[in-house]
Amino acid sequence: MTDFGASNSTPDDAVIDLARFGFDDANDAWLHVFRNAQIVEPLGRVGEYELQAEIGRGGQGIVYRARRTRDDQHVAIKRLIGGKFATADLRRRFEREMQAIAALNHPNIARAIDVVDDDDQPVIVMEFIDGESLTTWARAHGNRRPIAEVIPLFVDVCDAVQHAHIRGVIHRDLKPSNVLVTTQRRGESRSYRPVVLDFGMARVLNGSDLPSNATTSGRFLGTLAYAAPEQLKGDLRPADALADIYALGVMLYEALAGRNPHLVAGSLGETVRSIQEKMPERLSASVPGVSRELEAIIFKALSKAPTDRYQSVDALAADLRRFLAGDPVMARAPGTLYLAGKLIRRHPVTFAVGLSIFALVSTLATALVVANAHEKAALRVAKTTSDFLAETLAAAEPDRSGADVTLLEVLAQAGNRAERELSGSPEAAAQVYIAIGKTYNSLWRWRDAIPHLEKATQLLRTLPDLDDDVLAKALTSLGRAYTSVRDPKARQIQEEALAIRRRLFDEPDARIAESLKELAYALQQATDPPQWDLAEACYEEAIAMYHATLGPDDRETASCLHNFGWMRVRQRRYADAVELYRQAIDTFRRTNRRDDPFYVECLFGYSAQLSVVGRDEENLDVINELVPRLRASHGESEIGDLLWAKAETLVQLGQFDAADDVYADAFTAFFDWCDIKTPSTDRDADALCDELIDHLPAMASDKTGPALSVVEAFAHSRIAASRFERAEAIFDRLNPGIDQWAPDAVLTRASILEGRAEIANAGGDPLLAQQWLSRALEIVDKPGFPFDRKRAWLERQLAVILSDPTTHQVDFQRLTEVYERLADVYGLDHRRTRETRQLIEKLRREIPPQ
Amino acid sequence: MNPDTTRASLLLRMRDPDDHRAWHDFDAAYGELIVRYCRARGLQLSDAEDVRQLVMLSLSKSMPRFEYRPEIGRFRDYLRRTVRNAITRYMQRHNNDEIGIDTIALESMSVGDDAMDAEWDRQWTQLHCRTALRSLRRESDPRHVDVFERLLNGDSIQCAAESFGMSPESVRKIKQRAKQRLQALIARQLRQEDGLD
Repeated sequence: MTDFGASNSTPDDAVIDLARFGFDDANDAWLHVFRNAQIVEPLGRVGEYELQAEIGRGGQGIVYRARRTRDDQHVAIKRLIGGKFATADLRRRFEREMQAIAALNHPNIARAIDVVDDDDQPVIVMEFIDGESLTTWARAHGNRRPIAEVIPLFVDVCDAVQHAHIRGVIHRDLKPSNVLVTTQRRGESRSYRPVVLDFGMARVLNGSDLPSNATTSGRFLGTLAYAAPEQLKGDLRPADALADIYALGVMLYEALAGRNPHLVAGSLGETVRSIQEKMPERLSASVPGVSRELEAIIFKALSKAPTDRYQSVDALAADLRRFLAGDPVMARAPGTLYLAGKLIRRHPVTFAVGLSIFALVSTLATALVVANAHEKAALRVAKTTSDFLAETLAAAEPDRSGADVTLLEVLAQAGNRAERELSGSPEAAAQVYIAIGKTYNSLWRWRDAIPHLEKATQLLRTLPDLDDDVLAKALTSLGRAYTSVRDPKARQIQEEALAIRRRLFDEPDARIAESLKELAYALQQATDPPQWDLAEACYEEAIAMYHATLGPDDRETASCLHNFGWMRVRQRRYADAVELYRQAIDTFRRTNRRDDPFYVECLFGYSAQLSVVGRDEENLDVINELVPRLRASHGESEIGDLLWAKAETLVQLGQFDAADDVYADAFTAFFDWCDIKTPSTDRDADALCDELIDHLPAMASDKTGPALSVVEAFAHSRIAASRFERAEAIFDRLNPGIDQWAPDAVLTRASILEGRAEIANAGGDPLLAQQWLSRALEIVDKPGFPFDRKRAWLERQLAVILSDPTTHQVDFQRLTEVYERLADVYGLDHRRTRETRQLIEKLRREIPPQ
Repeated sequence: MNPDTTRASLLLRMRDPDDHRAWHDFDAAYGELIVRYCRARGLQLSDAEDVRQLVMLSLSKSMPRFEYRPEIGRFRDYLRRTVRNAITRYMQRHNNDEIGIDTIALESMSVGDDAMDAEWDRQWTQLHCRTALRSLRRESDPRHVDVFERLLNGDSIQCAAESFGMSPESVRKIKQRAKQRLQALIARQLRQEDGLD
């Protein structure tokens, strides 16, 4: 007893109580007491289920672990808290929510098995998940799970929440204990399935919503640590989809950092203040492996203002997927030419996105009428289809959280309705599925499109008098969706569509051309390995056929050229890409259709590739044309990146004064983007650069990285203009703080060292230059980080500095090696590769072979 | 009791009706005890859950005035009386639409007035055992927990030692440490329950 503080301050009563546990008794009595405590009687029965123990409580429901007596199956049973005391409203709500949950069918949501009535009380029977909570799983028994395991699991969680959202169900109590992770073992390998539980606090958006106090009952029902700032305001308003997104952000932060982003251990007031006012501590600084991209994603989800967050869970999931694939993420601040890169990665179908989404669906409906009006039966089908879509649209409520979500709800409803109401008209149902699928495609929601388009093709194949081209169209859209998710089925589907059309139509025909174009795209996007040669043949045939049918200047021709150009970029055949983009642009210029948004997209691709191959004068013309067009279509806030590109192009052309004017505008745009008040007086680029450095220590974490790269790039422009002292002064100002502001800004730090090397070399100190470069190489030599290009370039710089033509000490073998490495990572057409080749050729001319 | 102690006890925190975390913690800690006790007294589960709600309502009224006075009884007994009272009222008014429950007058509460409620004490003891076991499992070396589970399930020291390839002496040590740890955990739980920690 002495060990456990049966001290003087303990009342005798407590000592007596402790005696009940048998610690002081003979024959290990305590062990028996604890053993017996583990054997608990069933709590009761509900229908054929024996309730074994309570396993949790949500806002309104109690969950029990139960056993179905007839087959011993374990289930979870949920009943309303408050039982008979529950108000009629609460009961109605519980029942309505049970129906909503019963309608959810997703592999990552605990499945509803049955709804039973128990003594006049509603009870829901659900799948029992034998897993560990997300928190326990993420810690993996003391060690942090690798990011490569956490993020894909989290994407599954997002998919589940999104599945509920588009059906109008908001979870409202997302927290790690509501996500159980089950482990499947196959031999040595393990896979993990997260399951979202407890929609007990869920709010159903459709129908006549109850006043908020019906669920909040005058107190906060969610779990504070995962509550969004807006939920903690005085009015205790019910959480919406954006609060779920915030909670996902908290959970992801916690899964990676092992701690809540806020101070939640203190008093209620401290917790609320922390959630409402304090920026969480940065992750990339403290958690190994968390990159700036990933951190930016989490911080975007954690934005205090709901409008700054992702506007749908799907957008969050999409960014996480981009992160996993190594693609640029939307949360991350743009760097130079980032936007251009982003845009040229898009595919031609996206010009539809510019349209209002509602107009899109309406247009589809109208298009169906027009397209099929030539036949009476077809007209009937088209009428059914368009009426159906019009009705679904009319039923939509436009005031939900973001237009995107609203449309998705409409689409989900349309799918469900089609299944129920159009079963007697399979052709109309197929048309609706095609319309839904194509709309999802135009929103890049390929995975949502696939099941609808699959259904459409299946239905069409069962029709006795099938219109083969309708099937070909459906297959084309389906193939496009599969291509976009890199599913190898794409090729086979597009081949089938092409075969159908070749059979139906006489060549040349624009519909055959379309299938050729889509097949080419499927082949170029194939991953193991890409079928470049086959894709090239298809593109060439498609372009020729479009020429012959729609004419050389049709938009389809341009779209084909654009896609072909993008394939050349992927092949690192940049010069060929430039040529194809130019041809695409010419189609618009010849017909004076420069206002077409797709023209802007083609210009972006053209500009980016001109920059890569070093055709700076032409690029400057293109950028000058782009700036006003982008300003008109995307607004001032998107101009910044283009201005950086323009300034850098001017530097390449040696027009340093003109470049500085543009740099000043670019800095101003950057201040704008950072929400820093733009300095009022007319200041030059150098002064603005200094001002930006002043702001660095206090800058929001997601802005520091981009700000640093902007300053560093500006310093390099000083080097190009031989203003070495100025460049050095900038580097010196960055030097003391950079590790603290952006510890993982590896490339920026390497570039600073590279700049110092250039300065040292220009100042006649190649030895010092070598030292700087060696340090830069050490930095990028970080295992697991894809810095191949930077490493190759630094090696090249080192080799060039080591070659001294004045003393004829040129190591040609080394130079050739670095050239080959550059050709490998940058491609032969890249300006860096080409300039290196030219340098070696020049040295060979100057230095006779020994 | 000093209300300024940095780590206020659950009971102290429950005096603030707005400290939802405290109320949640309390319900998580004692809800099952109330339900199991009611079931043992013959109530249906749904009735037991209703009583649990009534008890919470009752406590929410009485806790702001609650003052711990060791000389008049422990919280365990106070809670038992509240529950028993709730059961009585619930059964009496079962069919009324307006179900209410009076709070036990604190001043009338004293130890020894009622006969020992053996079932309550049994359930209470078991609840504390399960809580302590959960803590032990969570905080201890998983291998030691595995060994201890075998002992808990009735294996002899010899048998457990053979299964895990350990010496009986090591198993004995694990058992001894588990006992000490459980004793400390229970002592802490009891002190916290009575607002002494």
